[in-house]
Parts: sequence; structure tokens; C-alpha cells
Amino acid sequence: MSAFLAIVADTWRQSRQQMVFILMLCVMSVIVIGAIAWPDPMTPRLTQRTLSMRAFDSVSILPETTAPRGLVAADLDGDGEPDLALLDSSGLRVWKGAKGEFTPGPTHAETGDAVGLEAIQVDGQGGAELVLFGPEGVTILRYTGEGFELMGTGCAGPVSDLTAADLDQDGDLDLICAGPAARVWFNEGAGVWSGGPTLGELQHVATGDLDADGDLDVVGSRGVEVLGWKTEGKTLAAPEILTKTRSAILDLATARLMGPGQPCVVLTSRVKRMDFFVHGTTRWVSVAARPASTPEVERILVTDYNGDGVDDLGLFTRSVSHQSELWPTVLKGGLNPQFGGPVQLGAEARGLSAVYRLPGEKYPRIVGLEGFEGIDIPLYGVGNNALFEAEDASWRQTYYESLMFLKARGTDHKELSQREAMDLAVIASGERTALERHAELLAIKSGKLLYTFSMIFFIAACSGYFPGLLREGGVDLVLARPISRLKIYLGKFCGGLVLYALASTVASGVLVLGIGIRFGSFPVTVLAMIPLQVFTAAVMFSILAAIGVVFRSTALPLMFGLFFYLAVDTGLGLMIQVQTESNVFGDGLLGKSVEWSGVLLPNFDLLKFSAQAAALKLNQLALRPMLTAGAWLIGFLAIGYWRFRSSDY
Amino acid sequence: MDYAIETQGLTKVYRNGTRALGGVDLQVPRGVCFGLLGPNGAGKSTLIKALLGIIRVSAGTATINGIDFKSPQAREGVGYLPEGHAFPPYLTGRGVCRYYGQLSGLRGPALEREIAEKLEWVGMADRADEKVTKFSKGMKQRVGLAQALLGSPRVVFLDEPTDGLDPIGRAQVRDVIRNITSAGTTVFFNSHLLSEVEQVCSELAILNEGEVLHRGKTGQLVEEMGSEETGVLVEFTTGSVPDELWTTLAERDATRLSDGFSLALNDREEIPDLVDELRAASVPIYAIRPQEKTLEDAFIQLLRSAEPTPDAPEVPA
Repeated sequence: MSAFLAIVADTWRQSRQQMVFILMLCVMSVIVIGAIAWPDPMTPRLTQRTLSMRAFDSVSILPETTAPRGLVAADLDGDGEPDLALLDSSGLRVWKGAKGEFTPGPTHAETGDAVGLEAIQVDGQGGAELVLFGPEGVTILRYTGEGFELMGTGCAGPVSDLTAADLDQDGDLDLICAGPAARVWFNEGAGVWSGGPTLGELQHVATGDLDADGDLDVVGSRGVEVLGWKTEGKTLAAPEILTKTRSAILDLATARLMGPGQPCVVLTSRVKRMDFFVHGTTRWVSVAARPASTPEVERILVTDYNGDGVDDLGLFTRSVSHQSELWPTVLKGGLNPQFGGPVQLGAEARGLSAVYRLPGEKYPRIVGLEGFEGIDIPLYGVGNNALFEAEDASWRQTYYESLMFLKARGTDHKELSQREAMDLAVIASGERTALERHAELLAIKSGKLLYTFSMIFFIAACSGYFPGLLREGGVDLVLARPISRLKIYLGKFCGGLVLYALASTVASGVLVLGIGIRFGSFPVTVLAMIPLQVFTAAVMFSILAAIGVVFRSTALPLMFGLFFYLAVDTGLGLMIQVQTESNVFGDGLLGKSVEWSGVLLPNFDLLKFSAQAAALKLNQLALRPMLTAGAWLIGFLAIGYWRFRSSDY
Repeated sequence: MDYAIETQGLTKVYRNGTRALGGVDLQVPRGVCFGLLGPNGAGKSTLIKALLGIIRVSAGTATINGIDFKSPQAREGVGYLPEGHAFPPYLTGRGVCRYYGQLSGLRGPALEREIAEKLEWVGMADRADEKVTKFSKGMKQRVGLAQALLGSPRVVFLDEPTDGLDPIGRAQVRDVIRNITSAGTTVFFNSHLLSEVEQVCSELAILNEGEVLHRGKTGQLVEEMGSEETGVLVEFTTGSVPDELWTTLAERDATRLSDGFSLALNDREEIPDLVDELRAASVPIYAIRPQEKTLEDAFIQLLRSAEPTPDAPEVPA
């Protein structure tokens, strides 16, 4: 055994320089691949497509207003139709909605110094309540249809922003109030409020399950800082600074920009305009930024504007020289949010706008101070850039299942490519967050390139292993030892292969590490490619070893190996694919030859494909090419050993 | 008798019909230095390679330490220094010894001790950690010898071990061989340098065209060859020889030398008579050297005698 290990170790020593060479090239490949494939998260990634958009009408439904401070659209009277409420200098006014028409309702003049208005379902029944907030805290009013009924007050102290969420998961919406002394107020039901954790000074607040742990978390802005609190029941963890901007934050929201699952934190500021943040597995990552076309976005209204099941952004400005914009997200497999548009809303849509959805309508309507409604932005930008071009029945089945899954979730994605559908299915199923999936796919794509490059490096390195063993004057010293030729041959073979496996693992590890550090998600599934990668290397090495033993030349196996791998990998793979899909070569001798060559020759392309599938956890092993390659491996090992055993040296 | 090496009808015929070994029968006793002599192409290296399984024999059997030579176990306790060896260029002298020691089944601290000791023996301890690519041919030869001696083998095959060594190196190798044979190791010494063989080997065999021409004690061949011949060649270092006397000597097939002459006499007893003749002619005599028959003489004589006579029909190979 020690003699066998000595042969293995000698292969490593023989390859010491080549190993360094291989590792260097592998690592370099990773870096190059990374530079090419890894997008800079801070660079805007916008789809430059022209969105077809149904012209929407501007309808004046509201009288002129002075000093507007709040505008909401919600079902206030519990009739299922959205109503409108406006807070301005004259007080609180309501317009009752019916089939898209609004009729003036009562006015509530005693609004004090309220600076903002929200519609929140506080009591869990009927319509939403109107929550006014300002320096004097919070006032909750119930709209009765005829007038207003005071439900209570709360949140002692000034409130500059407010949001509602069931943080303690007791079925009631709780209030998170921003202000000089921000605080959570838990709704105990029946108009009873209890003060929860204090959050310090905050200007804006939002909630969302940011770390995908099933609990809603709180995010808020303090000057230029964005802070996050993880919640557990009625307790909040210590705040974590998620990011800092270069100027004061104007608004903050959470949105599912990357499909179902984990939301992003979206914020605007005067200098940086806009950032999207996702909580990765270890840290917060800025995944996209919007170009600075609209300054001073003061309100972000997040909803599904184009009916594709994914949140879009409505960015509203008060600037008279700029228009508010809609930025519909274009769903691309749930990866980095990519945005179509923007859709200019015109100068009429100011910071105080609201969005509502009429029963039975796919698209929401926007109400600004002068009123807008009816936009239609269809889903765009999902061309078939399938990663898995070489589709077969099993891939189609996976695709089909993915679509069925999405359909069952009520998402219509007929135009999605296979990969996009699968990505969405994976994300929607909760197996991965969008960011994890993004990192995973990036790693797999890079890993596939690494696979090809490392094979070429390995061919270059291993071509000399056996000729080196058999060099004149050297082989005698090995054969004269008390070790069988079988052990010598296998020792050399295993030595080279283990070396390759180690090099591949190291390179893949670097890849995982690099992507992990960059995106906060370590796509370890890419390591699942290694077994098939090593298997492919074993097949190639068995061929080169046999050639090396027969001809005792390094150049010959090197040239043959490169030609064989590249020709079979690309040429044959392509021919077989073309023949299978289009029968280009006909049913005659040529066509049959191509078909049979696919059976008789190892198809490295399909092996690589299977490795990729293994990394994607799709369980799509291409069995036939594996059997063929296995037969070649055994056959050439036998040929090489037979020649080695029967030769005189 | 239990031999260290024993072959019976060992034959190697290559695919092209060349017969390298033509049924070699050989017995090498234990604990001796056994020399294998032969002209170039006689099959000396082939015989060693055949015994060590490096080439496959066409027929015949052999044992090393009583074990069938085809079994890897036969090569346990066997050291080997091939002719024209090439060590892995990426190894140091110590690394070479370690690698081949491991291949021989040695390992751990015992191997390291062995390496240090054997490198010391061959005078390479100081440069053991240098890459072999920096070594001269002689230094490589020394490292080769060291690796062959690792593990105190019972049989050591040395194929031209003094090749490339300076006189001091050759003397060191001879000392090493004497030491290990005195410790009971059998040395199979393959060389075309007859003087080396003569100095260290107690037994030898002469191989020619794949066949053993002679086998026996080292002095035995010289004696046998000497007994077949009559007369003795004597060199005389003298002053000027008068022409009259030289004419007489020339008639007796004398050969003129720069400082005298040589002459074949039928018997040593003729020397005093010749001295008297020279003195009578007032020729000063400075030295008289009767020439002894050497192994080389015997070897050449043996090979010549083995050559087919022109008239004799050629024996097919």
C-alpha cells in the first residue's frame, strides 16, 4: 500500500509545477469570469425596452385643495369599493366611491396639526379607519358614511410617519410610529393600545420579513442611516445599521421586486436617488440603483402596477419641474430587479398620490391631486434566452412542472423561458430567496466555464504523466520494485485524478467564496458539479494514459486530448443536437452515423449538462452519456494497462 | 545448494527475431560479488532486466532468493542500479532515495535513517538536498548506488556502477561492495570494466551473444586460459642494442620498444640465457618484466576462441 501511495504522491510531485499552473489558471479563470459575469450591484440594470402603454386619462374628480398633507384611497365604509380621503388645510374630507365614481362626503374639520394620513384596518371589521398623525400623536377616526367617529388616540408624542403591521401576530394591526421618539404601539383590540419597544428618533418606517424567517421586521431611517430591527413576538432585537446614504432619506418602503418571497428595502435620498437592499444570508446587499432622473422623490408607492404578480415602484415627486414616474419591474426569473420604463405620470401626480384597485380590475388606478386612472403596462422583456438550450423531454417536464407550480400560485408566466420559470418556481416554493438563487445561478454559470477550462488545463497537465513515468532510465527503477504493474498504473492514474479533484474543489471553493462574499449568499450547490467533473476528467485521462503508454510521447496525447475534448464537446454535441431536433442529416447513413456516434462516443457536453443539473438539484442525470463514458473509461484503462503490462522497458 | 539467483534456460527473443538471451543457466551463490562480463550487446543488461521483470522473457525460469522471479515478492529485498538511469528531475538526492525506498516498502523514520546512512556511504550526504538536475554524472551515479542499497537488500544488481566515476569514486564503490558482501549481501555486478570486476568479484560469468561462455571463480578463468598457452612474454628495458644482436633477436620475433624490446620465450628459464647474451654484447639492462596473463587477456582469448572459424559453417542464431 505504501508503494501505491508513493506512486500517487510522485504524480503529485511530478505535477507540482503543473498543479500550481492549474490552480493559478483556475483561480484566474474565476477572477476573469467574475469580472465578466458578476454585475456591479451599484450599476443600474435597466431594460431598455419600449413599453407599450395604454394611454390613461386624466380626470378631475377633486376640487382644488390648499396645503394638502395626506391622501389615501381605501374602502372606508366597508362596501368593497375604494373611497378617497384627503387631509388639507380645510380638514379631513371623504369622497365615497361607487364603480369608479366618487361623490363628495362629509368633512371633519377638527384635525388639529395633523401632518399625515393613513387608512388602516384597526378594528379588524368593516372599512379601514383613518389614522391622522402629527405633533400631537395619532388620532383614529372611523368613517360611518354620514360622519366621523373618534375611535381613540395614541402614540403620545410627535409622529412624522406611520405604518401598520401585525408585528406580534395576534391578528390585529399594530402601529409603528416614526418621530423624535419612535415607538411600536401594539393593538390589543377593542381600541386598547399598549406601548411597545422604543426605536429612538426615526423619520420613516416600514415593515417586511426582510430576513425571510417568517417574522415581520421593522426598518426605519434616521437621517442618513437605515436601521433594521428583527422581531420576535413583542420584542425587537437591537437595531442594525443596514446602510448609510450621503444625504437625508426622503422615503423608505419595502417591496417584493424580485418575485415572490423576500422583500427589498427601497429608499430614496436627494443625492443617491434610490437604492434597493436585500438582506442576504449574512449581510445587506445593495442589488440595484436607479439612475438619477427624478430628484426629490418624496413618496414611494409600492404595488403591482402591471398585474404580473411582482411589485413595481411608483415614485412620486413634488418638484414642479419633474414628473412622477412609474418603474415597473420586469420579472426576469426573479433575479436582480430589472426595470422597464419609466412611465412618466405627468406633472399632475405629485408626492401626495394614492393607488387603488377597483374590484375585478387587473390594473390599479392612481389618484393624484388632480386624478389619474387606468394604466396598462404589459409584461415585457422575457425573451427565450434559455440557459438550457439542449432541452430534452426531462427538461421540458421540469419546465412544465415549473409553469404548473406558478399557475397554481396564480401567476401567469407563459412567456417565461424555461430557466426563468424554474427560477421563479424555486423562489416561489421558498427553497431559495431570490438573492440566493441569483448567486446560485451565477456560480453555476461560472462553474460551467470553470469546468471547461479546468478540463483543458488538466489535459495539458496529465498528458505527460505516463510518458514521464516511462522515460528511458526511469521506468527501470520503478518496475524493479516489489510492486505490481497494475498498482503502478492505477497509482499514476489515481494520483492525477485526485490532483484534479483537489484543484477543481479549490477553484470551485474560491468561486463559492467569491460570490458569497459579494452577495452574502454562498452557493455551495455548485460543488455538486465536481463528481461529474472528475468523472469526465477520468474518462479523458484514461484515453490520454493509453496513448501515452503506447507512444511514450507527451505531445501526442496533448494534441489528441485537446482535439478530442473540444471536437466531441462542441462538434459532436452540436451535430447530435441538430440531428435530434431537426433531422438535418436525414435518415440515411449520415443521419444514422450521427445518431450512433451519440451513443458510441462520450458526449462531454451532456456530462457537463448533467453536472449543471446536479448543481441545480434538478436530478436530471443524462444516463446514456454516462454509461457510454463509463464504458470508455473502463475500456481505455484496460487498453492502457494491457499495453503497460505486456511491454518491455 | 541454495542460490541467491538461479536461472534455467532464460531466453529472450524480441519481436523482430533478435535473440538477446539464448537459454541462460546461471547460479549465483549467496553473499558473493558475482561479476557478469561480456562485450557490448552480449545481453548483460537484458539478463538483469529479465530477472527484475522489466522485460518479459520468452522462455525459462529463474528465482531470486528462492522466489519465482515473475512474482513481485521476488523483488523484495532487492536493490538495483540500472545503467544510464534517469531520476525524476523534480527530486533532490534525498527525495530520490525516499521515493525508491517507499516503492520498496520502506517508510517512516527507519527509511530516513537508511537514506542518511547510505548517502553517507557514497559521499553524498552534504549535497543530498540539492535537485538531481544539478548533479554531475558521477554524483547521480553515487545517489543511484545509495538508493540501490536502501533497506539492506539481500541481492543488489549493479549495472555499470562505476560508470562516470573518478578514480576516487570508483575506489569508494569498490569499498562499498566489499562491505556489503562481507555483510552477506549478494552483489550481481555487471560491467565491461574487467579490472573492476577482477578487483571486487570472487566469481564471474562471461556472457556473449546471450549465452554463458564461462562461469567460475575469478582467478579460475585466467588459470584456465593460461594453462592453454605455452611461453611467456618478457619486456626488457635496456640501453642501445647493437645491430648484430638485434638481427638475432628479430629472427626470434622480438618487438622493438622505445626503451628496449619485448620477446616471447618458451619458458622463464630462457631469461638468464638471454641476459647473458645481452651482457656479452655489453648492452646495459635496466629492467626485466615477465608479462602475467590478465583477466582481460583471458577474456579476449575466450571471446576469440568462441568466434566461429572462417571455415566453420555459421550456426544459426
